[in-house]
Amino acid sequence: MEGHAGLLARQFSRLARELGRPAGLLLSFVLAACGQGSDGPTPAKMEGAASALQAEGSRPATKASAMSYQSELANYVAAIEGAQKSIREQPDNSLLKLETVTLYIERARLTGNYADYRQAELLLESAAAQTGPLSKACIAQAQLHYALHRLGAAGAALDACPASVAPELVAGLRADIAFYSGRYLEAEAIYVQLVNQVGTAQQYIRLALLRSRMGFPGEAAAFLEAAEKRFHGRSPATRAWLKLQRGVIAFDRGRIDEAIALYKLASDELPGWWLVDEHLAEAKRVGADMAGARAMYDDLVKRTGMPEHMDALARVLRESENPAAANAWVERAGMIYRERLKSFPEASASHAVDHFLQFGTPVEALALARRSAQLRPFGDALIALATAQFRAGLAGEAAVSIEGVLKSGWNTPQLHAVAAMIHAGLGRSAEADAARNRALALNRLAMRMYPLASPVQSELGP
Amino acid sequence: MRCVLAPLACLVCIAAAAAMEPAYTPRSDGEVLERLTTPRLPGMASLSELRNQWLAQPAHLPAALDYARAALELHRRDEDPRYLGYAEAALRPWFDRPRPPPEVVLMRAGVRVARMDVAGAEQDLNALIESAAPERHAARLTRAHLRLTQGDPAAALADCQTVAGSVSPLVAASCLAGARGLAGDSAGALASLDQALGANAEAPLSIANAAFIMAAELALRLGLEDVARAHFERALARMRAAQTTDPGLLAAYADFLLDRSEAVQVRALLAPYPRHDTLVLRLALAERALGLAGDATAVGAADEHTRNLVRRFRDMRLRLDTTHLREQAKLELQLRQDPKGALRLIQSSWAKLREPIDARIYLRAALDSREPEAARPVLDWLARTGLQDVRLASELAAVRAALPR
Amino acid sequence: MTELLAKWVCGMVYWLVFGLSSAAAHESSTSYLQLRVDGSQVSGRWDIALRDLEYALGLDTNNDSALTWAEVRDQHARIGRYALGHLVLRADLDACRITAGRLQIADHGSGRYASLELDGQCPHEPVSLSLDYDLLFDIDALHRGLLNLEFRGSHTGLFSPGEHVLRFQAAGASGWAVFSQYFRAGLAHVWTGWDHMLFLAGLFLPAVLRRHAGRWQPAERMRSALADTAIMASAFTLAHALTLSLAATGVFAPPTRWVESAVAATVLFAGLNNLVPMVYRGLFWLAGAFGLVHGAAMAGALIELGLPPGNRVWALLAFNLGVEVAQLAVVLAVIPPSFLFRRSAAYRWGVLVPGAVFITLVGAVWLAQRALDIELAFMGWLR
Repeated sequence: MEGHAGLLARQFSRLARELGRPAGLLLSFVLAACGQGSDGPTPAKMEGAASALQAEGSRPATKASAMSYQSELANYVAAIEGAQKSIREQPDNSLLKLETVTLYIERARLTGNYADYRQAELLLESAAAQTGPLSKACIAQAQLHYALHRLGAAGAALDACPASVAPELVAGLRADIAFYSGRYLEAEAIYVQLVNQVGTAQQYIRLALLRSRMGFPGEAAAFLEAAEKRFHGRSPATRAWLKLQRGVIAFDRGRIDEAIALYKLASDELPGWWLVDEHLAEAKRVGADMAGARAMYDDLVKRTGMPEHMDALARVLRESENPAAANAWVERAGMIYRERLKSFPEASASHAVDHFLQFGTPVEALALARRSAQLRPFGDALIALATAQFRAGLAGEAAVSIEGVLKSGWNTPQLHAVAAMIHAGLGRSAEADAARNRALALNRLAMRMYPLASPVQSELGP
Repeated sequence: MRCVLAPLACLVCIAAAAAMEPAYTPRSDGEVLERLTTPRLPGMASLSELRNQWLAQPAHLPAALDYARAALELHRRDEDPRYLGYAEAALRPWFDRPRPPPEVVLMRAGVRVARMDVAGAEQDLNALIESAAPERHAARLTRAHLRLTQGDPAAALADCQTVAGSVSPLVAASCLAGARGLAGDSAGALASLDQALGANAEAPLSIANAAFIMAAELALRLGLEDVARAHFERALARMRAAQTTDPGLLAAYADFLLDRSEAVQVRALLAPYPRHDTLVLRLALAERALGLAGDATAVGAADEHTRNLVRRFRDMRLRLDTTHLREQAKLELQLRQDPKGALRLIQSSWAKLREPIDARIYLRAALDSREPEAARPVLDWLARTGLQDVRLASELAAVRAALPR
Repeated sequence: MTELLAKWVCGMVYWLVFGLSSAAAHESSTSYLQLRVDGSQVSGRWDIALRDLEYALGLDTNNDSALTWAEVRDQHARIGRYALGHLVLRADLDACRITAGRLQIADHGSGRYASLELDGQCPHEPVSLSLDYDLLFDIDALHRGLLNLEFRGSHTGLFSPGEHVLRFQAAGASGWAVFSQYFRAGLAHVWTGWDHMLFLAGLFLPAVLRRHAGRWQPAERMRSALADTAIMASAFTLAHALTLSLAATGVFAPPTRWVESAVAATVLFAGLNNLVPMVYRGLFWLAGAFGLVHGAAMAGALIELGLPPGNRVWALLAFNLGVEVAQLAVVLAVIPPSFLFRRSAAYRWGVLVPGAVFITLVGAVWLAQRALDIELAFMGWLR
């Protein structure tokens, strides 16, 4: 089932925001499909091209290094090529198209390439045209809209689902949408129900990611471990992703060494995956291993060309012997973001916000942050909005935004760190200290880890 | 100090005063020699925590920056020069690099501005402005303010206009208002600044208060004393609500109150701040005024504060520290009745600081020393900038009258 | 009686002026160092703010935000070690030993100071005194040290991170003291200057034994060898005395890097000349030319020492003499054995050639290092 894709998608979204990289939403899909669990190792059950993938997947993955990121990617490329060929041969087979849509989405998750979403969209439209609006395609449609941050459209697609569609799929996706709409308790209720009724790995994962955002990292880590135990699939990407998530939870608790260890385990599962590498690089940077972080970011930028990596490299370069080298990367990243904003305005808004908060002007950042918060009014987007408002001199509005997040049940160290900055700026010492203490209780490195939480450089003058 | 005894005793006294203070052994073990403070800004770690984090990893730039930033902020709040030294010491290892990180350069510029190293600060700011680093906006803004303090409104205006789109609206408005006001259009500047203040009521405290002080200054130049008072009071209320200290605000307000002969208010306002040189100076002025009005204890207090300031300024001179020349000139002029000394000091200060307050001291010192010619630079400056300030009116008239045509 | 009264009045004044001050404003960090150098005896007092010591050392052992006399006194040794670890007093080029004595308290305006009594001894009576001070600079870049020095007259100084070494010349030091100091400095400079010594060794060897047309040509007679050596030595001496004096008195100031590189080149040449004879007639011209270079290089040491204002020529002369005597010693160590064994093949191939090769290589390495700023790991020990 693909419902948990949403949860994972969301998780990546959050990560993407925090660490300034692309949609973590992507992978959730991959994992969704990969995480079919005991259903079988491969996502595609197609003739011809699929069999290659199947054969690949049915090979016992005794050594994790047997599968690397490159080989996974090659599999997908082969699978998609084969699938396209099949579609040309059978243009009326809407099921083929749906499965190809899934392939595209998964590949997009793996690579972070937005173009694949476009392809998926087109295919989906074509398939939906064939089968009619009320069909099984509604799930795929909802997932795609969801992945592209169009929560309203996703909800509408779900509404159009016939009763024959698996209720847990629909419920799961609705819960995911609720999460990103800021209705965490509603989401939580559904997840708990799903865990108790369905109880597969993916349900545990969703609950884990939610609880981690509500301030229960220990629980979250436990749920992830439970998910790992329940995941019997062979997909190395899923296993890697699970380790990665555990690492992220450790990272957010300020346990950098533990995070690095888990990230390395994730890398062992699927070597060469940029997503793991960027987390590892960031952990190294926070752990003061600047040389290590820089080497990894250098490599990442060459491999992926993603603007988020360019931003991260620029950040490290600014402290190096030649800080001017950072500027070229910032420019390039900025150009790519602007391009993306033109082609995928909803999907890319939240990722671009980080770039403009760090390297752009307050006005640009605020516009993007507003957009992003409007599309998905959940914790991270609202925290970014509060930061942008503060930077733009709207400290009062920033305080309102941040207090909204505090009341909603979101409970992360970053939230409290940013709240401390805003309260301090407004001269509310007691609130600032309280927020700071809350941040430190959750993560003793909170005041240093989140770049957006550091005070604005002298905006005044003497 | 004056010895009333035999010249020999005087010589011994003077020599001893020039020599070191006598060392002694305290009587009891429990005698408290020094009370220590753990300075902390709200929402931030205490300075010692940040310092320990820095000491644990002195080569880790973020740790050093956090410590230096906190130290700089504390310096602004407490006017304690040691904090400035701490900030500089933390960032020193990066100063020696041919191309230091832009955050470091910006902070170094801030340190240099605080130390009145104008040339050094400009060097750093220019380097940042010309680079593509995100700090260039803050650098340009700082340069604009630096140029305002140097009395160059045209250059300041250019910078303010360039940077206006890249900073928050109230910051931009303050910058522009300062430049326009100094160039002679205080009324227009005040109007636009008031508008900006109205539209950005909930700006961060330090930005808002800087805007209030600027607005009050503009109002005073126009002679709108009630408007100025209202702005000062609002800023003061916000400062108190935040339980922080803004020495610039307090000094400006005190000067205003002293001009209106409200010495009692000044004393009440500044009494809680015995550790800020600039405020002790105004306090001494208030107490002297009260003494002249008949308050006997105020005379002693004024003398004591004056002596302390004299000693502190002398120590500064020994250390070749030239950051308080304006205050020293004010001291000599208004408390020690030494207009010639004041004139020399303000002439030195004029090289780096040219604001209306400096012009006023300069004109008054020139008049009282009966050297109106010495005030030519001020007249030239006023003509160049076009500044209109009613507070300068009487001194200006007197100087012009005294000068041959 | 008047004296007592004067003291009492001064005390009163002190108390009035300093005792009554209420909590004074924040002052910058300053320490007050008072030193007196009498002959080779050092005495004085160093006042360091308790606030600064607390920041540097953490004196508040019970963490109650109050420093009591007991806490300070208990850490007397630590304070002394810390302070003296950041002060180096040198009599000419030799370090003086200073120890911390009694610890008391003094009031300098805002805040109390720890007042350390200082006692010490210099190895000899200094002609010039240098103080290297870096207390607290690593913690507070605005810290300053105010110095009051009694050393054949009163001197004052200000230590800052940018200027942490201050030098004082004795006005009116005895001629003998000046001479012996600078003579010793000249000796030390050559005997610790490997580049000079290697150069000398390499330069003078061809006087007694050289290669020519593929064959070794030992000098025939002692007299000719001596004559050659003497001529070269004179040329060298005159040349380097000239440039040394000019550079040391500031008449001309060649850039250090070029001078050091040129010295390395001369070493290289000198060594090579023994293996591949390039110049063996008119060696004294060579010696003169190279002498000019070496003189400029030696000036650096002399400039660091400083020339006493009243006795410049005398000091310069003494330094030159010291250099000459040291060089003579080197030549005497090298030439006679070379002359004695000049016909021995074992000596030639076992000592002379390897030695020349060594000198050549070292010269080449130094040249690369100094001229091109190349640093190789193993170069550390060569310096």
